[in-house]
Amino acid sequence: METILTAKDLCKTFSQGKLQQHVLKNLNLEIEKGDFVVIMGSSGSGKSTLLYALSGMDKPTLGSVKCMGEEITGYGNDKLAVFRRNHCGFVFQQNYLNDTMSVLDNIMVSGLLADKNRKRIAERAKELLSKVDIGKEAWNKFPTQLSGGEQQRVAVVRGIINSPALLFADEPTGALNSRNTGHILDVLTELNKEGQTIVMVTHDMRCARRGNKVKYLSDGVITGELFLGDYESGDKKRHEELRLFLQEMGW
Amino acid sequence: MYSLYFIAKNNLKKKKSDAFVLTGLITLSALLLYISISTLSNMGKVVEKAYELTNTADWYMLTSETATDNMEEIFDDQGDVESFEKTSAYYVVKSGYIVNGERSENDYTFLLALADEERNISRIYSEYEGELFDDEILLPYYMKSALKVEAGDRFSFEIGGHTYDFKVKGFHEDPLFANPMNVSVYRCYVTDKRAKEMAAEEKSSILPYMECKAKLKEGTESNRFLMEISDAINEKSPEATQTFNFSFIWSSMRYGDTMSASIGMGIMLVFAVLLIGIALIITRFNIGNFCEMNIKNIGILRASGYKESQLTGSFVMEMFLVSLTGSIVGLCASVLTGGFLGRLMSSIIGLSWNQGFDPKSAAVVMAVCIPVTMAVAWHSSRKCVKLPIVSALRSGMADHNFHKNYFPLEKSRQPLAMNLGLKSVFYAKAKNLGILLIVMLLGVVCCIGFGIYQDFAVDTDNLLKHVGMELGDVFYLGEDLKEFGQEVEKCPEVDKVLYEGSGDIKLLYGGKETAVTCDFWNRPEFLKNETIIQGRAPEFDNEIMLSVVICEELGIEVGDIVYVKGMEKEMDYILCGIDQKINNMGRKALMTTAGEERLNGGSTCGQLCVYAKEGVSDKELAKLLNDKYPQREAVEGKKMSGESLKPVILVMKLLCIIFMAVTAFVVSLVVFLLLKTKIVREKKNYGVYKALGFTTGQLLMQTVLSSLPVIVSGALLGSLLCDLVAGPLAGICLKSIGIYQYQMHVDGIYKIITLVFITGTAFLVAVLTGARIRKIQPVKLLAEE
Ligand SMILES: Nc1ncnc2c1ncn2[C@@H]1O[C@H](COP(=O)(O)OP(=O)(O)OP(=O)(O)O)[C@@H](O)[C@H]1O
Ligand SMILES: [Mg+2]
Repeated sequence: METILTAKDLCKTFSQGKLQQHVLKNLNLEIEKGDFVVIMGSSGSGKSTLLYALSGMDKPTLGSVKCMGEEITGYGNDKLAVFRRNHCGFVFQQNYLNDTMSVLDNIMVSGLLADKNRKRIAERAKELLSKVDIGKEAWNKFPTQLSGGEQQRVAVVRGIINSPALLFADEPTGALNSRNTGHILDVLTELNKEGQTIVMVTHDMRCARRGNKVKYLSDGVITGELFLGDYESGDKKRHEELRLFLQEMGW
Repeated sequence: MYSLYFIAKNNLKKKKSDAFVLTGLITLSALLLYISISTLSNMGKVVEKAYELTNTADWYMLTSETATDNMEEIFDDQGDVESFEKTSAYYVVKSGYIVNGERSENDYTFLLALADEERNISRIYSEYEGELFDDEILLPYYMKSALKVEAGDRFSFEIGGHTYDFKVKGFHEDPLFANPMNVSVYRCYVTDKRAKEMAAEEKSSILPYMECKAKLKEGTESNRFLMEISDAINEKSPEATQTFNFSFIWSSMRYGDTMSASIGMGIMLVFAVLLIGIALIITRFNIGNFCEMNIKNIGILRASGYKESQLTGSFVMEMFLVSLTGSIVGLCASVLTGGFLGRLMSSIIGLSWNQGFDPKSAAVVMAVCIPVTMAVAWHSSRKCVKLPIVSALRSGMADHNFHKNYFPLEKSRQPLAMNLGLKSVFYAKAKNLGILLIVMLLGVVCCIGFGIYQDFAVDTDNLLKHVGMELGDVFYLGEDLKEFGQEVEKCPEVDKVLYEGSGDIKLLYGGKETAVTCDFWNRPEFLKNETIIQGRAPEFDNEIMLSVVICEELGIEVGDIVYVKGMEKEMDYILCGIDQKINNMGRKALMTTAGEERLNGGSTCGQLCVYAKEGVSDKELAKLLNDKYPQREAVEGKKMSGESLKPVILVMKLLCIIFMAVTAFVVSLVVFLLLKTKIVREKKNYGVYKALGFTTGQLLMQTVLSSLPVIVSGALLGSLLCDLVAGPLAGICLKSIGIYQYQMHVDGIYKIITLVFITGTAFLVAVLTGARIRKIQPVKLLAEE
């Protein structure tokens, strides 16, 4: 398989006055095309920090990140912005939709960055929205007029509107109930099956078992990795395997 | 670009009311800016045009008919003179006037020019054409524009108990006599026959005079010409300057015409710039506030790959849209108010204001308003756009921290309530400081408005003192006044009589030479409206006092010896003092009658100023004297000055009103913005409070009160500081017109009015804005969680 992201000796240190906190310590990691990587770890272990470093949202203190053959480590803010718009998509725990724009506009704001053709972007947005079960009637609504689950699906569409090489998701289901969680996960799985590479941080075993690789973060490094096959629903064995792995990791 | 516009448009939609307020403010600034710039730059053209059309005299002298016999000869000898003309005119020393049965409150001086007479210099320029009949009169345009007289009205003179009726045929424009600020005379046209009849009947108050007018060759240096011509007249026709007369040169009258309008518009310009400053401060807070509220949206946009420059770009674009709209609306408003402005300007200047929309000034307004707002938008959005994305995303508005943790609870010893209060004031330290500054400035502006209103419009004595115009309680003009003055002085009601003569002199000092009109007073130390800046009034026959403008021109100081050339002799005088004057563009000299005799070998007297004993009013004195000496006309000084000060009073009243209105507007805006953001920001808290059982009224009061302290302290500071700031500020403005010593005095009562006015406006707007608290529902908010 083709490696699309390589992180080498990543370090991230937060300092507040004299206090220093080393969150990532010489962390190494590779992500291959078509992967659905799940990152787990206890709260405060640095999962989000890692995700931000990988996606060029934040700069690591030391170490390098190479993505799609580009070495992004020394990039300035503008170059990072261009890198993100061309290669990365994001879904967060809160959907962060802009409440004052319609659903469609929310997606187009991101879409317009990579493609100036408004019509084409609108078409693509509508197509993707239909795909995640957001019907026509909701396109011109405002985010607050949608349910939490619907909002998060809109946020997923916003994340993939520019066909990113990598989709980063930081606890995308953290704020949802179980039915909506299932729906979002199905969307992500579906996208992954179509070839979308996904990196997802989660606390939830139900989410974690969707991935084909689970990486455990502890003490600033990846302490363990579990390979699972492609996801099939109702796979009891997969769940058990994951449980044992997490137990071993001290979760 | 489109994506920038997209975000900008959306941001604008989100803060409609903010955008609206800012647009309003920029509209207002653009309007005031355009008005002041366009009028300042076009005023000259208006005057110039009337000058062209009338072929206005470059040099003008009004003097007794008998003294002008050899005037032509004098002028023929002058190389600078292109043409010369003499026309007769009747000088009406004092007349009341009645328009459609209504008597003017003031008496005034009129000059009746003869319509039938042929004239090439200072021709009649009037839109009312056709022959003038004996019962018709052409009045100065000022009477139409400022005094609202209309063609067809009945107009009567009231002279010495008789009235002379006319029908107003129309109005004429004359840049030499455009408005009473310039020359305190209304110059009218009547028929030869009628003027003669009137003069025959009123020998004491209608004097046959002669207007001597000269056109000068192009490029003639006016100062040099003045010196040469006064020499020539003194030599060949001395009577012309010995009787009452006045003469002036166009180059200085040109500014006189527009002086009060220029001052007013200059002040308006400063004010417009101040408003733009306020708009910029508000822009800054708006963007800062918006960024805080939308920090996550900004974070997500940056995560999607928007560059910092693109996001600042969207703010800049947003302010571009706002300022573009604002300035366009402002300019449209200026077109709409153009008619009003035109009427206003012509009522101040006394010439028809025929200027249309001025694209150049409009371009200047655009070029000022738009780029500065964009620059401020760029600067104020940079800080929050530059915030690391991760922090932007991590922190919601509530716990987002641009700020330091002021007054940590753990360490402080103050009571909790006070501590929380301090925390919130300091949390928004910059914002509160900004508001304090704005309100303080407005407070000062308001006080200055009241100050100039009081000093220039209400207290005309004070104004006269600044202007340096001496009229006495009652005055006489005419010939052979000396013996008559001695008579008058014997009256028990009269305190004293001062004699004034005047003549042109030449001053030589340090290799420089200049011509100036000199007043001669028998006892200058008793002058009431004399403002001496340095030194003292002349007492001895070898002393002279000069106005500050002249002193600066010559570089002379008190105690220096100046060489004075009079009609016959040349003498040394000691400069004993420096005073301020604004008539004659501030160029004046003053010496004693004894000093005049030393120089000219004789003395003149054109005016008697009579001062009443205590307890005798001006009116009583005038009546008494007129009864006792019916052959001469005693004129009340105040009535006369009241009329010539009308344009200044109008300008000052107007400025005061504009200052008040704009202050109210801006204070309302600031309070509105302040409260609105507060309510939006704390919507959730209000919901919770309501759920806890607070009434809307309680919450409203709490909110209103929270915004008032900073406003009240601002207004208080402003009204306290105004004495400190206003004096120098007004001083700078007035210096340019020759008023060097001006102590602005703002009464305590005006300070209190300012305070109450600002606080009241703020309170009212706060209550109105706060009303939206009513709409916040406790249940809905909690359910949303
Ligand atoms: N901007 C920051 N400044 C200082 N410390 C930070 C900052 N961001 C993160 N940290 C610290 O780094 C550590 C890791 O934070 P991070 O958000 O990556 O944890 P996480 O694994 O995502 O936790 P959770 O599962 O609760 O989301 C935490 O202890 C946090 O306090
Ligand atoms: Mg996290």
